[in-house]
Amino acid sequence: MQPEKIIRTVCSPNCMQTCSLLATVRDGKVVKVAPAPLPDPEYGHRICLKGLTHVESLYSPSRLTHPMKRAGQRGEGKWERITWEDALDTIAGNFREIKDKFGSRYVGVLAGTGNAALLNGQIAMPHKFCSLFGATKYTVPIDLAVRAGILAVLGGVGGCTNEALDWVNARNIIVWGGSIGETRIQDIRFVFDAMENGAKLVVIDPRFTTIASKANMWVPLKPGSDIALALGMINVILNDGLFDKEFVLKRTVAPFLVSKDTKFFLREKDSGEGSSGERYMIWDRQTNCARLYDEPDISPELTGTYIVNGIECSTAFELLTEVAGEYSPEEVARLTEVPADIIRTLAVDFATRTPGGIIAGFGPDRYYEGITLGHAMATLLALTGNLGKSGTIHSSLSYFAALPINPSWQCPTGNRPLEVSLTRLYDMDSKEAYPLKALYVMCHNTLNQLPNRRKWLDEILPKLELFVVADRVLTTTAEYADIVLPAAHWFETEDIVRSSSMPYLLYRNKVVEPMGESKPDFEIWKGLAQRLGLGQYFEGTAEAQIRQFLDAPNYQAQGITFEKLKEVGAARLRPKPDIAYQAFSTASGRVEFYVEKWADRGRELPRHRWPIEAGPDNPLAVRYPLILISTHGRWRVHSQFVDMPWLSELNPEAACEINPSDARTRGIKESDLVEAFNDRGKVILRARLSETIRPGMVYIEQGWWPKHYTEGHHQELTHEIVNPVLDNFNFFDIRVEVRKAG
Amino acid sequence: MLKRYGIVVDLKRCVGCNTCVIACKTENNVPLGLGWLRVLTHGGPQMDTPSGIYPHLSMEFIPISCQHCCQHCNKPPCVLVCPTGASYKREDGLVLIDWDKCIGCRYCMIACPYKARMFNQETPAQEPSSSISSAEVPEHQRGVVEKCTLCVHRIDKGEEPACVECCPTRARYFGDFNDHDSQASKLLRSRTSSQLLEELGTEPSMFFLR
Repeated sequence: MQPEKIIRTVCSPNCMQTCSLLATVRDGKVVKVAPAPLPDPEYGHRICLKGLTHVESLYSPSRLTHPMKRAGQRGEGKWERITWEDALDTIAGNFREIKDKFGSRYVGVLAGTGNAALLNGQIAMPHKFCSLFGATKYTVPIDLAVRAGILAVLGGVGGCTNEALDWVNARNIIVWGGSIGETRIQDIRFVFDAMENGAKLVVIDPRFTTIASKANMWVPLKPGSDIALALGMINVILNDGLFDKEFVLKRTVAPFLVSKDTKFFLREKDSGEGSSGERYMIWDRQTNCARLYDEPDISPELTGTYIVNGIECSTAFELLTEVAGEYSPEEVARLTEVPADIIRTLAVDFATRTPGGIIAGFGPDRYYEGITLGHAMATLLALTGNLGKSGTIHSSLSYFAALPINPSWQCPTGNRPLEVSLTRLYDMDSKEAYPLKALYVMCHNTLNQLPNRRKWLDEILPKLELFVVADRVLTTTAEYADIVLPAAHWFETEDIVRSSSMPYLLYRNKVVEPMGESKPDFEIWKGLAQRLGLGQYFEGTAEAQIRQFLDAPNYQAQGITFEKLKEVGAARLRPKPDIAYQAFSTASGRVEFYVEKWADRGRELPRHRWPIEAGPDNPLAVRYPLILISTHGRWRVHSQFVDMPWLSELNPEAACEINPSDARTRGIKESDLVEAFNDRGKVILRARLSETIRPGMVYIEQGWWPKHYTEGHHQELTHEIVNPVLDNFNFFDIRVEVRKAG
Repeated sequence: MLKRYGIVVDLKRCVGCNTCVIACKTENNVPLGLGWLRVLTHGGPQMDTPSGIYPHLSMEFIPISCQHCCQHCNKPPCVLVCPTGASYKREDGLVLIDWDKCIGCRYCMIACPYKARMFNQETPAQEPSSSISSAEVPEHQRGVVEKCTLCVHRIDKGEEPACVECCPTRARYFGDFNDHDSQASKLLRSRTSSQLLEELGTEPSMFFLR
C-alpha cells in the first residue's frame, strides 16, 4: 500500500467562493477533501457541504467516460460509443465545412460559468478558440443588471468592492435581495464579524431567508419595488440634509450644470465664452456666474436653476432632488408595502452609521428594471460618502475587476472574437444569430438554466445542424446533443483558477488522472485546434500554457512566478486591504449619479418602474396572481452537485414553497402534488408550506433537472424578454398560478 | 489537570448550511441513512422552518439538536447501562464505543436522552465506497451501535474535529473546558449559553451561545 498523499487543489463552480482544498489520495483514489490554508488567515480554511462531496462527484456512476454519438433522435437517449479520433474529426470537419460554405461565424461556442478556470473553464480558452477560428462567442446575459447600473455611475469594469476581509469595519450593512446565508457561505463570516463589532445588519428581501433571520432588521417588500425603496431612502437623506456635503460637492457630478433642454451637461463651449472646450460647468456662488468645474477658488452651488448664455440649466443635484421629491416615505410605503417609518430608519442609518454599504444579491437583478436599482444603489452610496474607504461595501457579482490576460496569449493573431449575447438566439429572425449552424457548449447546462426551455427544444435546437456538449455527466443539455464529449473533473486537471471573491490567483494541482477516457477541456480544444490548423496556439502541457499566461508585465511586476504560485497555491493580486473606488474611472472622474448617456431614454436619473410581468399593473395578474422566484439554495451551485448521495439524503426532493394562506385558499396541503403553470408551460412537484414565503409569491429552487420533477420544468415558466437598455435575463419577472395536480 | 473536551456552538453564526454534517460524513465515512449530526430549526420538524407568521418571524438553526448528536456527557447514561463495557468515557471527556465489544443490545440507545446513537441493522451502505475518509477511522460494522466520536482520531493528533474545522461561518469551537484560557472557556465566560436537557443532570459537554 502506498503512503497517503495530500494534494492541494481548488473547487471552482460559479458560487465564486473558490475554496482551496486539500485532497487526500490513497491508492490512487481521492478519499477525503479538507479545507486548505490561504495566505491571509481571514480567508483561510474555507469549504462547504458541496465541496466536501467531491469524493462522490469524482467517482459518481454518472461520470461520462467516453465520447458518444447520438444513435436515435435528439433527446431519445440512444447513444453509440465513439473514439476521440472520430469525435474530434467529426466536429472539426463540420466546423471547417460550415466555415467554407457559410463563414466561420456560423459556428458558435457557448461557455458558461461552471468552472472558473483558465485552461479548462470559461476564463480564456473559448475566447481564444473563437478569436483564432472566427467562431461566434455567445455571452451569457445573467447577473448583469444591478452591476451595470452601479458601473454606469461609479465607473470601472467587472465588479468592484472592498475585499471581504475589510467588511468587518462596516457599521451598517444592507444585504439587498441576496440569500447569502445559502449562496455566499464563505463571505458571511465577515458580516458576522462586523456585527460582533457593532455593525447593524439590514436585510431587504420579500422572503425570510437565513440571513434575514440573523438581521437586526428584516425589511420585507413587495417584489419588484426595490427601486422605489431606494428612492424613498434618497428622498429622506436629501430632505433631512443627511448627505455627505463635502463628498457630494467634490467627488460627484452634483454641482455640474445640466441643460434642461438637451439634458446633457453644460460644456465650456456652450457657455458663450468663445471656447470650444468640453469641460463641465458649475455655478460659482461668489462671482454669481458659471465657471469651469476645475478652476481654483470657486464655491460651486449644489442646488439651483440658472441661465447660462441663454440656456436654462440646473445642477445635477437639483435634478436629483426633483426626482427624489416624488418619492416621499408615504408614497414609497404605498408602492413597497414597507411602513414609512422603516423607510426613514433605513435612510437615517445608511447616512449616519458610516462607513457602511450594500451587499447586492441577484434577486432584484432578475427583474426588467434591475439596472435602475443599481443606479439608485450607487447614488445612495455617493450621497452618503460610502465609497473608497475602509468599511464601505458595494458588492455585486465579482468583487474585483476581471483577471488581466495577456492579449498576445489569448488572441495571438490580434483578432477579437465576435461576441453575441445569447438573447439573440431566441430571436428567430435575428440576423446576428442565424443561420447558426453549429453550437459547442461547455461549462453550461443550457437546457436547464436558461429561460423558456420549450423554445430551446421546439425552435432553437432544431435549427442547429450540429450540437456538441462537453461535460462531466449527461446533463439536461447533453441529453440533446449530437456528440457528447467527456470532460475531466476539476481535480483531474492542472489549472489556474480565478477567484471572484478573494483577491487571489489560485493554483490548482492535478490530483488524480482523468477517469476513463475523459479529457481536460484544454486537451479537447487542442484536439480541435490541431485539426483546424490552429494547433500551434494550443501546444504543450498545462504548465507550459500557465507559464505563458504568467509571462505578462503585470504578473511579473507583482513577483508572481509559476514556481511561487505552485508552491503556495495562491498569490495576492492586490494590496491588503484592497479598498475599491478611491478614484472613479468615469468620463468626469466623479460619481455620475446623473448618467448623461442615458438621457435619451429618460434614464439619466433613477425612477421607479414596475417589472415587466411581475408588476401589479400587468393584466396577467388576474389569471396568474403569484410571482415565481427560482431561488438559489445551499444544496447545489446552479445545476451542479445534483445526485450527490450525501446531499440527496438531506435534500431529496424539489418543492414549490408557498405561504400557508395561499395554500389554504387553493386547497393545497403540505406535500400535495401541485402544478405551477402559466401560458408558457408548467412544472409538477410537491408543495411545501412555509411562513418564510410572502403571500403572493412562490419559490422553486433553481437547478433541479427535469428528472427531479414529476413533470415539466421550472424553466418552462420563464421568458426571455430583456430590457432594451441591457441584455439580462429576468428570471424572477414571472407570473404563475399554482393548483393541486390532478 | 485532566482535560475536559467539548464543543461550543455560536447560534448567532450558525446558518444551517449543513457543512458540519457533511464534514462528519466524509471524515468518518458515516453510512448512508445515518447522520452523527443534524441541523434543525426551532419552528418545526422540517429544515428551515421559522417560528411565527409572515412577516413576524424568527428562525434559529440548531446544528446539534435533540436528535443525533452525542453530547459527550460528564455523567453519561449510556455508559451506565452498557452490559459489556463497550461504551466508556475517556479521561479527557470523550464518550466512545469499542465496536469489538459491542453486542448490539441497544440498551444505550434507550438510555440516551439525546437520541445520539444509531444502530447498524444491515451492513453499512457507504457511498462512494467503504474505503474513504481518514485512514484511522475503523470500518463501520453491522450489528453495532455508532455515534459521534468527537473525531477522536484527530483529537489524538492535536487536530480539531472535522465539523469544527470545516464550519464556514466559524460557528463551532472545540476546546478544553478545564483550561481557563482556552477559547472555548473564554467564550462561555463572555456570552450567555445554554445546554440541551440540562434538567436531566447528564452534564453534556456541548454549549450553545446565543
